[in-house]
Amino acid sequence: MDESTKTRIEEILKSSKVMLFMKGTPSFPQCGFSARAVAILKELGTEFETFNVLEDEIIRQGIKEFGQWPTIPQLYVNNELLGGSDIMMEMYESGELKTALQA
Amino acid sequence: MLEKDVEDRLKKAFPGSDVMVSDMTGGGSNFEVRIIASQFSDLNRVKQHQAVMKVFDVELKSGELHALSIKSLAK
Repeated sequence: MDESTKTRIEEILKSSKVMLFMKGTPSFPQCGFSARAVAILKELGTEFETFNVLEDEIIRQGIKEFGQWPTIPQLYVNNELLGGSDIMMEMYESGELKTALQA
Repeated sequence: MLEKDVEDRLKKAFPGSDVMVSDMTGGGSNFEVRIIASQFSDLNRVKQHQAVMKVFDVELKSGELHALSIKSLAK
């Protein structure tokens, strides 16, 4: 991954404490897993930003390499990879996600 | 891919692990994986999922595998 992509990703991550890389947008998710991730964040009433990887192939591939996570969606909190929709669901059900988002 | 392929690849990658695989859509591209492996004992959840997905890095990159829904536990 070239330096400019890495820098762009770091900028995107800095732009919001909670950043969800997803397919589509919160109102028009293009994949079931992305829709589930959005639903969880909405349920918790969290403020979050999203990045539609379908609109940017460079970021779509770059983010997979950046966090060594080959699938979308991916949730970043305070610049740290929290995981995909499975981990979000597990943490949501255990209450860990609410705590992590307030950190 | 077939459920058997996914299961065999995981058992090879994590010897002695308990693995259960089910094809979520019947199309061979979305699988649910439940795996309990001793190799996970010093890995957090993110690292466990990354280790499982690494086994299918090629298929996830090519798009042959669309999604892996993973439930992992350390033995």
